[in-house]
Amino acid sequence: MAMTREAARGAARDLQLESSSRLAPVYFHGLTMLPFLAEGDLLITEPVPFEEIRPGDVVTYRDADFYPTRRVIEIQPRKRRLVIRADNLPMRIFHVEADDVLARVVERRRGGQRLVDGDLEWRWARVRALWRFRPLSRNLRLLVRGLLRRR
Amino acid sequence: MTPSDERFAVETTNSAWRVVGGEVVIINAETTYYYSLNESGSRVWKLLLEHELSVEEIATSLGRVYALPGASIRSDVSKLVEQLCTEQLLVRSSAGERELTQANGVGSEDLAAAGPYVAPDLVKYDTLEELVVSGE
Repeated sequence: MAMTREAARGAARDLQLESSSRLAPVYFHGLTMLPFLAEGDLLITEPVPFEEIRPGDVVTYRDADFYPTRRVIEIQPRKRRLVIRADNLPMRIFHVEADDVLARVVERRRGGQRLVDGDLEWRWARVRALWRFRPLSRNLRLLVRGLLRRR
Repeated sequence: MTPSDERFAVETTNSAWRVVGGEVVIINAETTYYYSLNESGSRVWKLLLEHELSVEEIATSLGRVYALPGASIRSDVSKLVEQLCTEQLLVRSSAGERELTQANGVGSEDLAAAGPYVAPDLVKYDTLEELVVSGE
């Protein structure tokens, strides 16, 4: 059966996203990832296997005709599912299946400035988001574990 | 008519592709058009991903898949190759740069899965708009 225009368009858009480092950056829209991502930021995204996704990563996934881009808070390997939130929309939790994840954000371009995954600002945004969204008990446990390890 | 000693390969710098339901979808970053290839066209694409081939060689390989003489489908292949070149999805290379091997990318699984022969076809769609992702 011949491919429909819609199917071809969907595949082309997925390709556009997965190949943004080689082709062209994608445009970020919205306020829900402030301050880390702002309206008009240009993002470079790269495909990422589910096994390589880490808490704190910002991923783009498929949701019908949209490409939500939010932060991974928790990984559920057995269910092959991610728990996701938007940095500036703390009340909502999203569950995303591994197969729907298309790419991970690896670079942000804003006003001629580039910020890449691994830069201090990037790492700080990751830590802050995880600290904020994880239960206090878990954060304390991690903190204690970290302190004990120092000794 | 394409000179018989001319070889072709997929232009990999500005294009990206994926297989969807046995058919290839391609985007050209330079022009921002996107395309799809039908089943036989997708087989041609797969061949050209692996080797630089002439029209004759493509027709022979494709003919093997569909149990047809290469000569009978040569003009179909030539037409597709010209289209792909026009759309800057293939590059021409000089003759003899790379030898055609027997293992030319069409495995037995592909052969078994092939339906009746339909001439390779490239469908050109619109240009891609800027992709917008959102935190909303």
